[in-house]
Amino acid sequence: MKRSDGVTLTVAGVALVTATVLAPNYQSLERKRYTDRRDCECDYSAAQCQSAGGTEVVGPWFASDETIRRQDPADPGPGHCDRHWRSSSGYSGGRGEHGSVTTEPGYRNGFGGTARRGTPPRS
Amino acid sequence: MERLVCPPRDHWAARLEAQGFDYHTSDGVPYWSEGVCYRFTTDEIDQLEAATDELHSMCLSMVADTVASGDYHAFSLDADAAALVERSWKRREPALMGRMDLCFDGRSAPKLYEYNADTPTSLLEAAAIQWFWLQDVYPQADQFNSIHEKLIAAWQQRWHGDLRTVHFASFSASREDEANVEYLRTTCALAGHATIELDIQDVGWKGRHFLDLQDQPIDQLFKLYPWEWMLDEPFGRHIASAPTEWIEPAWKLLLSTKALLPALWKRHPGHPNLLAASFDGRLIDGPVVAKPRLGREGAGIQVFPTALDAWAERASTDIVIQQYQPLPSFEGHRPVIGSWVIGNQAAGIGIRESLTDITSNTSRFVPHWF
Repeated sequence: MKRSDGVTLTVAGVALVTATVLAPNYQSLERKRYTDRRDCECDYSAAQCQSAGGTEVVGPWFASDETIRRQDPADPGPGHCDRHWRSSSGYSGGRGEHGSVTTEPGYRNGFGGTARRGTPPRS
Repeated sequence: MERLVCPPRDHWAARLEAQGFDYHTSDGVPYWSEGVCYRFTTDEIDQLEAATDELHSMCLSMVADTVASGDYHAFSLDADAAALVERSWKRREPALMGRMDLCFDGRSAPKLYEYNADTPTSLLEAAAIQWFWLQDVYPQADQFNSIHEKLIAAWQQRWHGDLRTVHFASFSASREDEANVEYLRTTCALAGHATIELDIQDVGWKGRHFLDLQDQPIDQLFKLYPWEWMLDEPFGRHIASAPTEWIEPAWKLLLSTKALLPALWKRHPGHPNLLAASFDGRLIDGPVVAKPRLGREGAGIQVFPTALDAWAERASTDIVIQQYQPLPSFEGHRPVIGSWVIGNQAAGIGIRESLTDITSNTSRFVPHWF
């Protein structure tokens, strides 16, 4: 059959998109991975600390850039212990053992760079 | 095949805009040609359909053999890209669509210029807008166009009846791309799936998953964004470990490059639907065209009197040399046939015509009937 069945050829919704979204600034995110849940709950609330397999726990994602964090009240930030409690040698407030903490990246804007440089993505 | 003057519709621009085709004119230059059309015979349409099916079948065989041999040298794929190709092919990830650009004048066999197998556009106008035109202007005639129905069927069959949430991503600074994706999203929704659209730049990565703007995992992603770009960008390194199913699948990397052309010619020398092609052009007589391996919209394509001239000026591993086959001329208008493959079937055509020998992003879309 060569032809379309005309009755089914409806394209309602095709015209929905109207706005052109400008590329946001590159937003780098990161989160912390802990070997001890107590370390995470020192930085964040218990609800923000999620199990990540075994005894590992991860905290919430936050913007790497402090300027972006300040503009977003919902950004959880790098955690309270960083600022108030934890020092390089342990917790200054005596809040338990200092487990290892690593930071892992996560971000948006990791696709789209080639198109932003002006090459048409279509063919 | 003939080019005809046909009656322009009253308020045609407003009609197109109401159908979602609001880029029919760009910077004052029309992209949609109202008032002209191409008429084919049934035999000519049958030729186009048969050639498209055969070429696509040849492409699939080439992919199968390449994956079986593991030799990706001709396609310039690194080990990571080759691994993605192999994984997607062995998992039998289905293709959704592609568009072959064919040279056809109604007298000689259709010839393949290239296969836009990864990020084809002009979908909305080919599938829907020219169909509405046919209903308005030649309601008793036929059109080689079952793109819309075949897309819906392809979405319905894709997960064996399971209904999924499918994300659609494009670079939203391009209105044309956005409209193409919005149309495709409509066909997916008509098949019963949930759909979410986002800018390709808004795709997030958090450790194990690609995520949408609501931080929900992206399990199925249609992307109107070339594979080779994704692999080259910062998130490209996460593709192999992510559970996301990509549409088009990664094996399309072997078809969406001009390196496909020498590969097909090597396997099927003299085939009536192919033009001679190679990387150095030494075995091609007469004028040739030098094409960038990954060029788009006619960019970087150049005609040379001989392959030696092409090689002297453009010698590079990133260039493919193809026998020069000029587009037919209809009073100076040069149409290229965009022949759509949906799933694995020829599904219809869209015609873009130019005033030059190289079809570019300034060409015009012309409806057809038979």
